[in-house]
Amino acid sequence: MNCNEFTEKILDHALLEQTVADPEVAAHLDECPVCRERLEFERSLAEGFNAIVAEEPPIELAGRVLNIPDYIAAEEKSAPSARQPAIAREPVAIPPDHEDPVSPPAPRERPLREVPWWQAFWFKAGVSFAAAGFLLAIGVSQMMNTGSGVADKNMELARSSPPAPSSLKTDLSDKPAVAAVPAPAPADGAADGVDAGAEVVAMPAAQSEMMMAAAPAETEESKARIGTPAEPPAPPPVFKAQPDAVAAAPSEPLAATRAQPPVIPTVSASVAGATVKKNEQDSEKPPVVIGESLMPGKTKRTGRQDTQLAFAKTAPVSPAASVQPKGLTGHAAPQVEREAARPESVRGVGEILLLETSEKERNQRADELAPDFEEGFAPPPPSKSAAEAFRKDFIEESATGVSPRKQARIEEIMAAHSSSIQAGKLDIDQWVLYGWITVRERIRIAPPHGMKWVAVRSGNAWKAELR
Amino acid sequence: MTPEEIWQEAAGGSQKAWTEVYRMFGGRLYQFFLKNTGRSGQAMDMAQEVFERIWRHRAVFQSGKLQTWIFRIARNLLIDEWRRRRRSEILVDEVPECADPQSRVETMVIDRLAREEMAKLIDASLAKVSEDDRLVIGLVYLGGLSFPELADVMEIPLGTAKTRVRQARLRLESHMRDQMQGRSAGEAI
Repeated sequence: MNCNEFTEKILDHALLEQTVADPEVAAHLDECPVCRERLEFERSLAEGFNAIVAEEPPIELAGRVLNIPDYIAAEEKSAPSARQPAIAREPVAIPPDHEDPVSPPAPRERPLREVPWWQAFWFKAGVSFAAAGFLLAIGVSQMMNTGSGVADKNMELARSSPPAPSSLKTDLSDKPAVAAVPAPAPADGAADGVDAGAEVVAMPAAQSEMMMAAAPAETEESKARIGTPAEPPAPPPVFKAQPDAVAAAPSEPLAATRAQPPVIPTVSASVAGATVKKNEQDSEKPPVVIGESLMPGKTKRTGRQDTQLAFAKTAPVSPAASVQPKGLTGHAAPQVEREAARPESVRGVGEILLLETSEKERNQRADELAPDFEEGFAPPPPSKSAAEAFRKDFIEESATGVSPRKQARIEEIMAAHSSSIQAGKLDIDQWVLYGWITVRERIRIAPPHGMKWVAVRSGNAWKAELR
Repeated sequence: MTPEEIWQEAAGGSQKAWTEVYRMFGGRLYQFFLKNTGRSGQAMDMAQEVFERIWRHRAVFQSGKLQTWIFRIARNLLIDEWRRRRRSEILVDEVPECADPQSRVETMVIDRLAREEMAKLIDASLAKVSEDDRLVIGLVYLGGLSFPELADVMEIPLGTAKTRVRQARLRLESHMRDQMQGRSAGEAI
């Protein structure tokens, strides 16, 4: 035994005397004064700890602990299922359990324990926070509903508003100084029935009264019309594209094209073959966004040139993107330059342009996108030869369990390092560590699952077999 | 009677046996919590909690050492208290350098300190070590656990328990030496 072992043994004061009584330890103590001194220190230390432990705890602790069985028994009798927490308990008056009539003992109360300040109201605080959160959520949801209700009302108002007052007859000759505001016509039919004498209702109230008084009496026809239920309000103005007009004047600025009544295009959101199907018959219907037709043969190609959306040159596209809608993003700089050179597409970066392009330009654009396709984030598909080779190997292995290519490669490596090869199981992972093969090659020559390559001596050469 | 036999009687309802259990472990538990928390009131609460738990779950203890069971509860209670106070049990890997043979604490302490003085020296030094060291020292030297029992209570291997005790003791002795050197300087003046 050496000093370190002895020191470690005597650290355990619970077994100190037992350790000292050990003959081996006693023999070491006889020889080593340092360890004797160490033992004396440990004994002194043990006495110091014993002195600490021997200090009497406060008498209050004794009272608390000795009452525990009675307190818990009373608690279990009163509420067996409800177990109170260990702290913050109120004292319970325990009835006397003996029959000394002389001096009945005072009811033993379980003293209160110190309750941290935060434990007194954490539950209430938690409940109030939860209630506040609940009320806030209700308020927010109501606000959202109110907001959507307002939007709905606005839409209804927009639908019920009359058409542009271009059909109203106005006569400003009599009242040139008056800021004329055309009176809202109850309906298109009613507006047409108004005589030429109908005049504009001026802003000033007095003059309006005069105007109203001067207005001719309503004809019976108009009365009948007024009496009849109003025709449904005119639909909102639709945006109609007039490709003929635009195509005929490709040099016109965009503002001129916008002067035309707009048409709501139906937008297809594919990349290369973006088409806009015009629904002139359904011009009053809301726009329909459709994807590229999955059956190109059925797509109607009219003689007219289609309206197209010019998509920005976005990030490179993966092969799967052609069947997915593509987001509309801003123009990249080269695209902007190209578009800026063309008068009909003068707009800043980030905006979607409605262009008229010919089929030739469409194809040209598709060709332009093709290089981006090749530069896509997705790695290029494996070459056909590699895929074909893999397929061949897989079939061979599946049928025979042995890949001649793998076998040949392993035998080649064994031949190159024949002095290091031993008969038996081949550890091709070690070959990677030795630098004989790369990791990729190790994957290629890996044996099928559950099998292993085995080196077998055949004359002067090594053969690889699958076992 | 062994502590386990006394406990069996106490669990059966003997108030006398229960008092004996308190006498065996009350002081140790109180000092263990007092040295680890530094607060008398909290030490009393925690000691009471330990007794309450062993009484509530008296049917659970069927075999093994009563001391180990009690101090396992005490240790878990202390760790829970640390977590409540958001203190982590940091294992300090630093081991003080080997004591200079010429200034060994043994040389300083032996025959120079009475028992009460040693207790005060230990008390002062314990206040300077880390919580983890204090826990280990408290379990072994205040709780009276042996190394195998310590390993059982802390649910660590025996070798790890020995290492922790050894390192905690080295750090404690380092502080004791500092205390003694400071006291010697004071006496010289």
